[in-house]
Amino acid sequence: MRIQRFALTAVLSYRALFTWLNPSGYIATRIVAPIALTLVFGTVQIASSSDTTRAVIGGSLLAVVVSAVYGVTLGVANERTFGTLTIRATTPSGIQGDLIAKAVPHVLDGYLAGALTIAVAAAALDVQLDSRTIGAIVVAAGAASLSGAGLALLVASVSLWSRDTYTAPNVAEIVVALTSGVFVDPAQLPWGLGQVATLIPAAGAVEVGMQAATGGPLVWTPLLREIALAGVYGACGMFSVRLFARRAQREATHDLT
Amino acid sequence: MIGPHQLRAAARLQLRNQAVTPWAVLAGALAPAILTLLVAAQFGGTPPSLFVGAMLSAMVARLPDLAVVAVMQDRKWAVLPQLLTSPTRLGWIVAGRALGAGLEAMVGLPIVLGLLWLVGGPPSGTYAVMIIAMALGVLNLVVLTASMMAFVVPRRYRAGMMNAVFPVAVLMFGLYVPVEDLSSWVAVVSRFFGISWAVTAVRVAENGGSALWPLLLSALTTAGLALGVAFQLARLDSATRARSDVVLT
Repeated sequence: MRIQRFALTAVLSYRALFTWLNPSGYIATRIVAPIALTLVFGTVQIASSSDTTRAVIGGSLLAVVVSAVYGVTLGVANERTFGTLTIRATTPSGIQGDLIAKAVPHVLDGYLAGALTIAVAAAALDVQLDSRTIGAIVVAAGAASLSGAGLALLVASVSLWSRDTYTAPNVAEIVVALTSGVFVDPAQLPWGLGQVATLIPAAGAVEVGMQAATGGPLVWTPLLREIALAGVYGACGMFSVRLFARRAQREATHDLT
Repeated sequence: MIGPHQLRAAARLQLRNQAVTPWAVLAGALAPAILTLLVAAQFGGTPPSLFVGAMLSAMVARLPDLAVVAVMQDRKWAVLPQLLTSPTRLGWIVAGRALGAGLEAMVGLPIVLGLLWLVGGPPSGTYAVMIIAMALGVLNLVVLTASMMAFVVPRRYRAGMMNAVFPVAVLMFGLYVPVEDLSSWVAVVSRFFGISWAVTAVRVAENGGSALWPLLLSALTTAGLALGVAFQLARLDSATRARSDVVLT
């Protein structure tokens, strides 16, 4: 019964609260944008005589991670707009359980976006990926989706507190794109920015994908690190949600838009 | 002189629209700056063309959000139909909004410039070409934004529909990578845009060539586009007033 209610919450939340669930918005945001961004960095890598494999693998993993981040945050933003956040907060499941349910369809949606991105980008940039590499990327994407969901909870909590619901996911996407090595090897980044890569979602998953693409075995350390990051971000996110939800309730700011 | 007054009022309205959320403006300006940082890291340097391409990409990242979405929301919230019952011309609204958005999008330029400067030092030589190319590129972008706004005025707003503009435009205009390196049809299409010629001019100059022709072509394509947009807006003004579905959302 609990699972059924969880699934129902997830589906209803996706259908009612996903801002971009219209043909042009969905195609532009979840299909064209990640593919085009991957092609931008793929062409940059061609122009700088580098291997384009990182852009193809990283672009698809970035699509997986940011799907959950934007999906959950937009869900909170719309609850705020429709004035239902206060009611949500008083239900037995509370906002925390609700946010986890909100993340599930976007994680699945992110898989689809990632699959489309890797298929189109690999064809356009002429990157050959064998079945073993694809298998490793699927496993890596699974771990990335978990850490993405954890990050989504953390980012969505900011949207519980702030009226401006777009800045937090935008900043999160920027940080992931810059420091996780999805497009550029962290070692190439200036000012030692690459040092923080191990703490950023998608970094471990990219490492797994890149290792497999070069013919190496499945590397467990970055994979486990990615899963551990999911736990850490998830825990921080839950704590943060509780904190900001209480604050919003105390200050009656749930429904301010 | 009603026209210029309306233009100024529309530009001011556009600037005030975003004034309530300065963080959003800053985050919007930061995103292309960070992408540029990644591109610079990948190239291992900051050639003058990357300075110009990156600054123009910062404007591309903001303009559709600021101006085009504003017009679509004006339609959604029935502001546009109300404005069109007054003598205000659609052309002045669109031009004013595009101008205001252009000014606002410039917030990102110092951030991009500063980041690139910090990474690779000041751009070498070709300053005159860079400045002219930048001015032509910005002008072309403002006109292009007005054209996009004219395109969306009779259409319904769908959330998220403009989200792919930035990466597609960066590719199509050759802002980071020369369009010749992309597929042949992309190279042909991009030649219709003055912004693409502006960046090409800087690339030609940094390779020791003469940037005169690309700059002239940039100016010419921008003038042609501006003429087309003026015509499109004049036609749309009467057509939109006659249409009853402009209030549909």
